[in-house]
Amino acid sequence: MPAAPTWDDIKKFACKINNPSEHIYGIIMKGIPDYGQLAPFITFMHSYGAKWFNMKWQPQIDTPAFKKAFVAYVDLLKSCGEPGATSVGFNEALTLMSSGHGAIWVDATVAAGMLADPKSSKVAGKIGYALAPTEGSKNGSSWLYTWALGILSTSLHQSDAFQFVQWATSKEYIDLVAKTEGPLHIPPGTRISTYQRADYVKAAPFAPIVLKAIQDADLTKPAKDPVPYTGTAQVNIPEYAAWAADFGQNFSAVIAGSMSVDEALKRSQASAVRVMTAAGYIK
Amino acid sequence: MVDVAMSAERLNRLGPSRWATLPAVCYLIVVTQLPFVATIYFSVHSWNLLYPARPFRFVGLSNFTFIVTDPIFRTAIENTIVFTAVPAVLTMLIGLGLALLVNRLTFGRGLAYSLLFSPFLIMETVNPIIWKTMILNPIYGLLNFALTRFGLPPVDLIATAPRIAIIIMIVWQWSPFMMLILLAGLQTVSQETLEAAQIDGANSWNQFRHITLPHLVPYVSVGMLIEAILILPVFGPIYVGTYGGPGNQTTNLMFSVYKTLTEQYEIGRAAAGGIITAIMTTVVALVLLAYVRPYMERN
Repeated sequence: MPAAPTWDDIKKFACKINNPSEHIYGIIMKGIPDYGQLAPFITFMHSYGAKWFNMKWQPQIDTPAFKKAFVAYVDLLKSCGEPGATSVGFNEALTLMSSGHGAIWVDATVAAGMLADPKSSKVAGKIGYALAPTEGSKNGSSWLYTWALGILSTSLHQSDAFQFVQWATSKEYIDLVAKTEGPLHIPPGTRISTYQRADYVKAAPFAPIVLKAIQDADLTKPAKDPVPYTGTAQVNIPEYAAWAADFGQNFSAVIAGSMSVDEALKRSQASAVRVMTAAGYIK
Repeated sequence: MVDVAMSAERLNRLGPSRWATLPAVCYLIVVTQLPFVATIYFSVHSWNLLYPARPFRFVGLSNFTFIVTDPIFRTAIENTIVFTAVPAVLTMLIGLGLALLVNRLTFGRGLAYSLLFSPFLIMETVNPIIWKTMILNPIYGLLNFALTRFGLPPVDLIATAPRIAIIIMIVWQWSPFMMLILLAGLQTVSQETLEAAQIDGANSWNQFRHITLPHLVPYVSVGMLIEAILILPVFGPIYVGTYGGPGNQTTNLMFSVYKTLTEQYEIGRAAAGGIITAIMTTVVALVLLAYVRPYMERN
């Protein structure tokens, strides 16, 4: 596996390893209707050079570029991926990978630590790591998602809450985790200083590539072409949930085989146009 | 004189019970009715949390008309009816079968009853995990393991027949409840009537059909009434099991309301969906209650 593969490479390897009779699947891909888990498909789509909106905020879901990416995803899943993908979200994919049923998995960097933990993963120590695959566009091929801490402006204990936030993201907290749970369980995405700790680098062979992936992810350049939106795993507008939810449902229907690709793209385009018009982005 | 004394006595008897329950009744009103009134208030207004600049304005019944005309909500209403009616009938049949079997047991009845009743005690969100992950999973699930053992092709119910998967989850959880109610009914069947029928030459099927079944009708009605009220707003199996299903095949009204609220932040529309669910439940409950009442008053 090259350090920076293309989706063609991935497809080649996945289909070679794919062995359904032994329950070994070349690649584990998500197909769940939950739009919050769509990030792997969205980066797949962007890395193929497609995009959600053009510069005039018109949805591009029924364009040939988008359809090409959509068909490629579904074909790869159906030919060399796991069955039952409509039930597979992050947790299910993690279960499949850590019990040895999958050869390749493209998802959040946090999974590296989970798969390397011998207590919960049967494949600990047998996993290699590469950067997110591209297919003509490095822009948007990886996403940057974060679980953040916030303090309500109406809170009566704001300074206490801030103290907690400071502690939870401090070096002392990292030391505490290293001492009680072991260096492998240090949260990978909180402090740069984590990556200079000798014990973390020794326990986590994936640390350098995770750091590179985090630093390379660029939210401001989500697509190959110039676009009016930012954000890779999600689009940074409040209307996102409205049409993304419909897209997720249709996407899952195609994977289940109960809707054709064209029908799904047509419906998703229609609901995106409706939402964006109602919100005033397009006239 | 006697009349006055009697009514004073009666008043004294009623007095404490009237005002002693007042705190509990007040608490119930505050906790259940005030939120319901607030929901009605929201349902006739338009309010979207994503657009705080837009005014919170009165829109009359337009939220309700949206729900009954929007195709996704229409599918949700249809699914709500299917997911309530089909499990009600199936749990009655399965519950009746289980109750008849358990009723005959003399040895080990307590153990059999506890084991059979346990699905009802599982949380509504753990139920779909058991089915989706342990049994119906096409890769490592028990169902496909059994099917491939017998040389049959594997199935993926959640993808190809998601409604059936949801109905299986609901029926598995609620059949023990019907079994519980029907077992109580079976145990109150008059033994003398059964023996008299036997002496008169009735075989066991006729005894069942003409004595036991009519006796069970009020129990079945009560069971279905409770089930209709509690199964209509089912949420756990859909949220965890299929997330509305491929497309919108297993979205029911409650799940639609949840998505409207948490994905689109349309408070008014979600409130209207909640009111419609409450109306549907009330209609079903009133119909069944009207059917049950004569039996309850007779007893």
